[in-house]
Amino acid sequence: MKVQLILNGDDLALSGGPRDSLFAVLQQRAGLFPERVCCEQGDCGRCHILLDGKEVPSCLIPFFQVREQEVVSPEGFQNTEEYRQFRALLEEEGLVHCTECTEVQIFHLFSFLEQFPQADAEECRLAIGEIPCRCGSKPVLERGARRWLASRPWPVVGREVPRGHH
Amino acid sequence: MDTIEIAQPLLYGPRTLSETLAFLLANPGSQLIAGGTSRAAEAPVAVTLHLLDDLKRITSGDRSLDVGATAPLSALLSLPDTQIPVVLKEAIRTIGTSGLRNLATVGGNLCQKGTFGDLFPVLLLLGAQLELRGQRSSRWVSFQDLAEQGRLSLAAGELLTKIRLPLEQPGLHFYQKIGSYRTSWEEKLSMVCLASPKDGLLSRFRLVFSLPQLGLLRSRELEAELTGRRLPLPRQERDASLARLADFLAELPILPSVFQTERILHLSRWVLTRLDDD
Repeated sequence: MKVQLILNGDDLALSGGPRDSLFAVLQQRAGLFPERVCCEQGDCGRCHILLDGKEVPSCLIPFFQVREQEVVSPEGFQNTEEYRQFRALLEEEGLVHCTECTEVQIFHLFSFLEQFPQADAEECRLAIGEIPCRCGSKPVLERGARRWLASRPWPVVGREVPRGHH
Repeated sequence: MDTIEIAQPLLYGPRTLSETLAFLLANPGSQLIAGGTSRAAEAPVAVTLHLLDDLKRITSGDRSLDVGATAPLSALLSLPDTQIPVVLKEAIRTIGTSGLRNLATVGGNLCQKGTFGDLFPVLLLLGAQLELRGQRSSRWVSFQDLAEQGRLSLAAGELLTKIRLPLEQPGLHFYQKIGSYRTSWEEKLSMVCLASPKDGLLSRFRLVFSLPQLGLLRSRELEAELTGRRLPLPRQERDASLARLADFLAELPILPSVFQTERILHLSRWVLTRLDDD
């Protein structure tokens, strides 16, 4: 089965089986996530991507569901200006590079803050805690999240949904 | 309708609800895939619902919120607290990670194989209803009816399309989940409690526990006994209620594990104490 998608800004068609996960196809056919082992439960964060702008675990997405959608992998994200700014801010807060989790944490936290700009400190702490790591970077990430949100335009609290008639 | 694959499994990606319902009627036994987080395509014929924008829609009325069955859980977390019962948000936050909640759907949580899902007890106490649609029929079913039936049974060709929940915020709410998918059933449970204190009285009290091996656990006697009581509850009344709850647990046809029994009593004591505090 061939599926047309936009991967890191490029239009392309990838081949995979109907039972394949997106992670398997990205790893085997697109050369992404080299040598990365994933929990395949959506827990570890190592396979997370942006699907139409939202962070999702690619190990849980059936490959066929991404047809005509936009996928950004951590490799694609690392080429953006936002990544460089966010990483610089975290380094100012004392980020130490951990081969296990740093890139995964940055990707996860940035995606979370973009999706929930109204997140409070507790919600940020919970989101940071979702990625397992023992490298001790969580306080750095929490400080970085607070500074990043404070530097953004004042967010609206929640997104109103359309009113309809029942 | 798009046919995505010719070899097995046959995957269908309908773009309208009417196409979907016609297909389901003609192909009973097809596997439905929404967020796809719980299982991959296993049946010979699978229908993916991710192209149906109508089923992702969330609309707010004066007194209720309509949530499309394939709305992702994260979409509900993005709503302001005035448009959704806060206890439902709390329950959603205990499901997976923020990434998983961008994929997992409300309907998928309710239609898990062999279990009701984490959101069921919350929606039950909130008085929510489900819309089930077939090609030539549409009906609303209350979560209360489903709880009594013990499972969600769909007629041939029927699809869960919408969940409607009243927007009334309970005065007090408590939600607690213990364990995760990694935990064994003996150490897993969740609790939801809605209570409305008014003029010094407990005007409404609802308490449900959800246990993997037992389903929902609810003592109507305890709820009736506490409703109307003056707050704060004296310690003797709390202790007497907890003793009756312990008797209720001991008389169940399938007993909760020792861990679950202890946690049920502990959480109930915590709730009754918090009622006093508030």
